[in-house]
Formats: sequence, structure tokens, C-alpha cells
Amino acid sequence: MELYELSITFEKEISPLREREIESVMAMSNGYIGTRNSLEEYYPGCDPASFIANLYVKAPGDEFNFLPKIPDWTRIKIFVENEPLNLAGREIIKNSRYIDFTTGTIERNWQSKDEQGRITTVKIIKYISLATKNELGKLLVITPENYTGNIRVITGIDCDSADFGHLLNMNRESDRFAFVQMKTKYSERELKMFHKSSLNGKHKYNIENSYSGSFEEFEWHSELGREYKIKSLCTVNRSPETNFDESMARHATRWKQRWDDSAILIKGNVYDQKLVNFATYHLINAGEFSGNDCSIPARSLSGEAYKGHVFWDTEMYLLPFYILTNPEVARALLMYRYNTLDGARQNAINEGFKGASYAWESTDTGLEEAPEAAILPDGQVIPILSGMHENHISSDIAYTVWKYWEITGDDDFLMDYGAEILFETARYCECLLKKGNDGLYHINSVIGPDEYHELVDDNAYTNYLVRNNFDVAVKAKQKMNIEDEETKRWNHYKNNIYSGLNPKTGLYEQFKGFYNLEYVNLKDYEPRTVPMDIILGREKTQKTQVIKQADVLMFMFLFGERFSREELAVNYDFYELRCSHGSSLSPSIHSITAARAGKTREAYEYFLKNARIDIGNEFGNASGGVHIAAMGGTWMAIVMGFAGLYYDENGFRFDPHLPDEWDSIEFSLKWKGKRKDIYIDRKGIIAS
Amino acid sequence: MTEKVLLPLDGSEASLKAFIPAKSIAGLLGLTLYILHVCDEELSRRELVEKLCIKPEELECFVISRRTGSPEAAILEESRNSSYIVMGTHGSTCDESLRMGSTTEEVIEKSLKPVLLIKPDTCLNVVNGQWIPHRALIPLNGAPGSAQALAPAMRILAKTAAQIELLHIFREKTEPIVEEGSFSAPYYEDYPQHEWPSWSKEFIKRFCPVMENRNNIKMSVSTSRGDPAEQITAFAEKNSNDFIAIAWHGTMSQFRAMTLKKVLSDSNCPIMLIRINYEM
Repeated sequence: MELYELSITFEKEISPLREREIESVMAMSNGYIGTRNSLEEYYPGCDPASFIANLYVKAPGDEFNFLPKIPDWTRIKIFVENEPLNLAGREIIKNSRYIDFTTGTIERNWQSKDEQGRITTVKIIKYISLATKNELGKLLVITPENYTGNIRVITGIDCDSADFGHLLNMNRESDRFAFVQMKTKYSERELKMFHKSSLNGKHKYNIENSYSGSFEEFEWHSELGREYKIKSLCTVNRSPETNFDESMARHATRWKQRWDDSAILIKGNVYDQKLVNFATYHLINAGEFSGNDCSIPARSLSGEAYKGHVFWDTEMYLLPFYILTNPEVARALLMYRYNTLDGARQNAINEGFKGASYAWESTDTGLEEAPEAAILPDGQVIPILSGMHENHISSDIAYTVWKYWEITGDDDFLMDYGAEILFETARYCECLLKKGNDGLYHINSVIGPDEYHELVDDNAYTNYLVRNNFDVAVKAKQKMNIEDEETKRWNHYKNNIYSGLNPKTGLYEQFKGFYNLEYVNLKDYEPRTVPMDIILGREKTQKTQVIKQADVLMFMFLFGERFSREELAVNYDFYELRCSHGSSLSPSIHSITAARAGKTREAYEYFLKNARIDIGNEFGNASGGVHIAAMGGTWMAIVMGFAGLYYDENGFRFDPHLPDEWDSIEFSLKWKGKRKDIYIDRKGIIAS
Repeated sequence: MTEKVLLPLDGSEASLKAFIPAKSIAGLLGLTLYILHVCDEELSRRELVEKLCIKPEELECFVISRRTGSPEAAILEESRNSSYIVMGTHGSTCDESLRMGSTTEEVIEKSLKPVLLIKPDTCLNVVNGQWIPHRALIPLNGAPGSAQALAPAMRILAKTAAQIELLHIFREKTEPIVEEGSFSAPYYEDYPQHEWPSWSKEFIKRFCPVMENRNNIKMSVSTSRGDPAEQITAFAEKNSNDFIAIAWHGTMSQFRAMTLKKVLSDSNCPIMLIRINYEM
């Protein structure tokens, strides 16, 4: 596939109001390390931060584990004739930042003129290597355009932005490179960061170490018009590297490969292409070295919000992208769930159950990290019940394990790891069932994806996913030639769980009693800038049919191949009217289900609503990090919605519904280890 | 140039109500108190002091000045060199049943300097002869313009170690604010336990950069829903706020500044008005 060269650019010199959003949306990552794209010289209002995916900390008194900020490796200070070069009090000729989708790097081009009329051009390229887990690179190119004179550059690792409440600076130093060593205060985990730079041309070199950081200092007499390049490689928890050119080339090669496997090409709409590129950039970066001992947090590694906690977002919104474009990443992410099974087992024990209950908010241990209460800004203290009652996450993970196997045919994974997840979650599901007088099994007091309605009985989503959990657990046992009491029980359960389906109308009742709740016409509250539960109040919302996000539509999306367009449309028409989209997880699923129901116009509107969540800056809450699940939603909306991909273990098919705004779409999928290139336009589908 | 606090007095009891707050701000910030009296009659220094009911021995650093002509014009001219204006809403010729006198109205509409308004019935938290605000309320609608109330208010509040409560009020059936850099309550609230702390943090960072490295300042963010004027007055009453700072658009004409008019009418604490400077 042709590499599409569209970049995303922020032209502003500096916007103190929006700087933290820009840092997030242009963040870099490789799944193991993530860094916000802060202005290298630092200004008040900047929020530089780097995180390591599995470095969770918890101090005595902390309510939960979280990812602390580690030292900032991007810091650069430039002095021309001892005057600092910055954006304050200078004539800024240009200062733009952009993501280069051809190389997977972040580039800044900055040119300023000082009071003496000296014009300096600065280019900074940064990347976090997709090829080598521990490697981070930055290239600084300085050109004195109209002068000769003394230039001094300080580049290295800044500790001031690190979380000293949870990290301890060991004050180690080296005379060969910048070096910072820290350890976690309460868990004895070590963090080492090395920073080694080189400069072409004659120069003085020095290393400065202090509690605030470790920096390399270069000073030289510059010649008119000459380019000076300082190439810096930072390594995290690995010995220092010096070959910058090789490192950058390896990164660019890996990036190109990933981009080639993952990019979606939309013909006919440049803006939409930009939205998709933006999502794909973050998805590739978030995944590469994630998994096994960590997963992808709700805001990836691009910001402090959500504390690095891992939710169902990963399996439901991100795994489809990885399973279908980079199954190795998908496998590693599922291995994280396998590796946290012990925590999930402990959660089940804490609930008084058997099997494995995955944490609603998971970190490195798999133990539940959701807080018990939250304080709203109006002072109201609300209980947070998700940790104890949003049980569907265990079956969500089981669903994804099976989907992974269906698409990849990775029997080794299924037999060695996946099956254990399926069995343990099925055992947990058994504990949720209560046999009713109708002879069916019911699940009471749960929270479905629609978190506005808590402790409901027979949430259709939960019941459907639990039924599937039994189904795939049985299938896995059959594949392993196991037939035992569990197989019999699970077979029995899966066929006798209450579904909420009314065969006459084709409607699923979201939970028992939903139809009796008050209908609220959401249009009466438009235009609206805040969630409906804030407008109506929590208690009132629970008494209405206002829902937070796709619930019935969520399982109809997940099991799309089982529902006809008409069956989907009936439920879409009913629930879309009642959905207030209080979650960023909602618009993408509505885009997909609308497209599958043949409502392409609505699907396109939801597509835009979802894809703009961060980049459109309509709401400004990207400052705490990007909504990585929405990025997955963007990819799914195109591949599963507009292209209409359906799949099961027997194969895949497409039922396209291209929006009027697009001429064609092109993308690739990995199916059972083989790449399939898909081209769809209004005339048909070409799969090669 | 020495910074000053401008205090226009016309000799009325109502205008004199602003004396203690003006004196206190000058004292807190180390500024000169500049007392301005506008009248056409010739007055000796002693007569002027007596007319304005001032006790010079209570003042550390002050200037007293008499001008002739239009009070509004004189105040506005003098305000150009002032950091703050502190004045009563009413003077000797004003009917107290009105919201404020014409002089005050013209000053608040035309001056870009922060104006601390003191109504005749304003309750002042006075300790040892000093007005010390302890709990300040600053309503912000999420637009950068409304945040212009912060800097001049914070300069005073930082000296009094007051608790500062930012109140973000949102309304139903309202279009999103289109002003560049706006930040209102989140449309998406994926998980409230994470969303609100994160939102509050960004709200403070975005609108209160003066908070940078000021760990001694106690600041919190609250939200409420409904009519802004009602929410502001209800919040102030509930939380015993003794100071309110509001940025506004600068016109009191009919059907404009409805929130401000109602807050002025219903609140009984000093209210600082900051006219939004669109060129900032």
C-alpha cells in the first residue's frame, strides 16, 4: 500500500491555554515508554512527563497503584552568546510542531531572531524507538543563519518533573554520559536512564550532575550558515548506546513496516484521512512493546489522567486493531491478562466466588484498583461500584481470547494460556448465575456498559457475554478433548441464560425493568456540553431510560455476524434515541452499528464525533492524555462499520457502506498469519 | 511609578463604606492609597479631611486630592495610573433603591482597571481595622476571558491566605464556548473517579497559571448547574464567601450583564469587577 504522507501540524508559537493538549496529542510511545511532546526548553504551563508501562507505585496511604512520572529525557536548552533561546521576548519567525507519518517521528521547526538581529534556526526530531524497546532519540540541528558566535547547548535528563513522592534519586553519576538512577520508594524497583550525545565539529564538552538532573553540555564557536547536529540517544534500563543514525534508521524501518500494515487510505476526503492517520499513529505507538507484564492504559502513556489504569477498553476497543494488523501485539496484550490471572483469582475470592474476576481497573498485579468512592466537583461523594459489580469485564476478556484465536489460529496460545483464561472466567461466571422460577438462569445486581444504571438485574450485555464465555470455554475444552462435569454444566448454562429478547419486537431489554423507566427526550436538552447524569443528577438519571453508552448495541456489534440488518436496526432505532453518549466509548460503536444497519449518514456523523474527541479539541480534555480507545474506535468504525467487516473462525466477509464523502478505502488485515489487502469503492471489493 | 489604590469619596456615608477595603488592599500590597474627591467648592486641607470623614492618623501612606468637574471623568482619568479602584456603589446623590449610582456605573463600564464595589449593605469581614477576605469565590464559565478575573483578585488573596473557590457553572441548552482555549465541564465522563480530578487539575492549570509554584494558596474547583446568577449567590451564601471576583463584558445596558446585575443585587459581600480586555 502506498504510504500516505499527511502530517498533523500545530502552527502556534505557544498557546499556554492549550499547550497540555498539544503535548498529549503529539505524544510519543512504543508501549513500554511514553513521553508527552513538551517544548524542550520548558515553560510554565508545560506538563512534561514520561511513563514506563509497568512501573506502578503505591505509597502507604495511597488508594491505588499508579504510574509515576519518570525524569524527562527531552529537555534541551540553547544559549546564543549566553542568552537563552526561547519563545519569550524574541521575534519568533516560525515555531511549528508536527507528526511525520513517514518516519514515526515528531519534528519541531523553530526560527527566532534576538535583539541583536541574530537569526537562529532550530530543528528538533524526537522518537521513541519501535525497534528497540529501551531506546529514545532526539536530534537537534542548529543553524546560525546570519551570524558567527558562541553557542552552548545543555541536553539531558531533567529530574524536576519526576514524581519524587514515589521515586528516590540515587544521585549516581558518570563522566562519560548523562546518567540518572532512581528507585521506587516503596517497592525497590530500579530505574536507570542514560543519555549520550555527539556533536559534529570542534567543541567543549562537559557533564553536569545535580539532584535536578544529569545533562551534557556542548559549547562551540559557530560558523555562519553551518548546520550543527547534536544527536542524543537515551536508554532506559539498558546500557548506553551511541549509534544514533543506526537507531533512528531501525526505528524508521520498523515504523514504515507497521504503518504499511496498519494504515487506512481514504480517497476523497483529506480531513478524514488526517483523523485516521492520527488514530493510527497512536495505536501503533501504544502497542508495539506493550503486553506481557503491562497493558495499554485508558489514556495510553500520553498523560497522567486515569493513572495508568487498564480497563475493558483495551480488549474491546484496541485488540481488534492489533489482532487484525499486528497479532504479536495482540498476543502480548492477552498474555498480560494471563499473567494477571492470580490477581483475578484473588479478586474472585474477595467477592466470595471461584474462578477469576478480572479487575475493572487493573495495574501490574491484576488486583482490583478501582476506588470505592469519588468526589464530584459539586461536592457530592458517590460510591464507585464498578470494581465490584461491572463483572462483564471477565467475559469481555474471554470473548477477545476467542476472537484472537479465531483470527490468528494461534493454537499454542489457546492451549497454553488462553484456555486457562476461558475456564477460570467461566468458573467465575457460574457464581453469578441464579436459577429463576422460569427455569432460566439470571444474573442480578450488575453494572453493564451503561454505567448510569447500577445494580440492575439481567443486563442483556452481561448475560450475552457470559453465555458466550461458557460457549467458548466449552469449545476450548472440546479442542483439548476434555469432557467433564464442567463441560456439561457450561453447555447447559449457555443455552439457558435469560436474554431479554422479545421475539415479537426483536428488541432486547437492556435490563429487567428498563421499559418501565421514564423516557426522556434527549433532544430537549440539546445543545448540551455536559453529560446527562450531571444535568439530571445521578439518582434521577437512574430512574430514566437515558443511557450512558452502547449497551445492547455493544453486544450486537461484538457478535455482528449473528444479527440481521433488520434485527440490528430495530435495536439501534430504540437505543440510539436514549443514548446520551456520556462516555467517549459510545460514538464509535454507534458509528459501526449505524453503518451496519444501513444508516450511513448517521454512521458518518458518529465517526466524526468519535474521531475528533482528542484532535478536534471540542472538549479540551486531551490534556490528561489521549483517549486511546476512541482511536481504536476510529479504526473499527472504518473497517467494521463502513467496510462492514464480519468474521468468525470460518472466515471473513464485507458488507460495505461507504459514506458519500469518500470515494474508496484501502487497508490490510492479517488473517491466519497472512496479509490480505482490501480495496473497497462503490463498484465493489477487491481482496488480494 | 508608585502603584496606587484609587478611592473616590464624595463625603457620603455610602461612599465611605469603601474606605476600609481600600485602605486594607493598599496595606496588603504596599500601595499608596489615593483618595479622590470631586467637587467645585474650594476646601482647605482640613475641611476636605473633615468632609470625607477620614482619620489621617490611621493611614500609613496616602494621598488626598480634590478635583473639579465631572466625577466620572476625574475618576477615570486618575484610574489610568491606578492598580485598583475601590468605590461605593452609591454616593450622596444616589437613590439606594437603584442598583448603583451613575458615576459608579460609568466607571465600571469604562475602566479596564479592577473595581472593587462596596454596597451600602455590604458585610465586611474586618479584623483589627483591616478587611481580610478569607473565602473568595471566582466564577469561571470556561472561557479564557472570564479567567481575567483571577490575576487581580489573586494578587490580594495571596496576601490573605484566603481559600479560593473557582466555580464553573454550566447551563442546559447551551452551545459550546467557541473562544480559543475554552475549557468547560467535560462532555465525556468515562469514569467519574478519574475524569473529575483530571478535569479540575487542567482547569486550574489552564486558568490559574499564577498558581505555578504558589503552594501556599488553597484553591478548589466546584461545578454547578443552572442560572449563573442564582448559582453564584447560592454558592456564596452556602459557603460564606466574603469576596467575589467576576470578569464581565463591560456594558450594563438593558438585557446585558444580567448575571452581574443579579449578583450585585443579591450578594452582600465585596464584588470585584474586571472588564474583559479582548486585546489580551
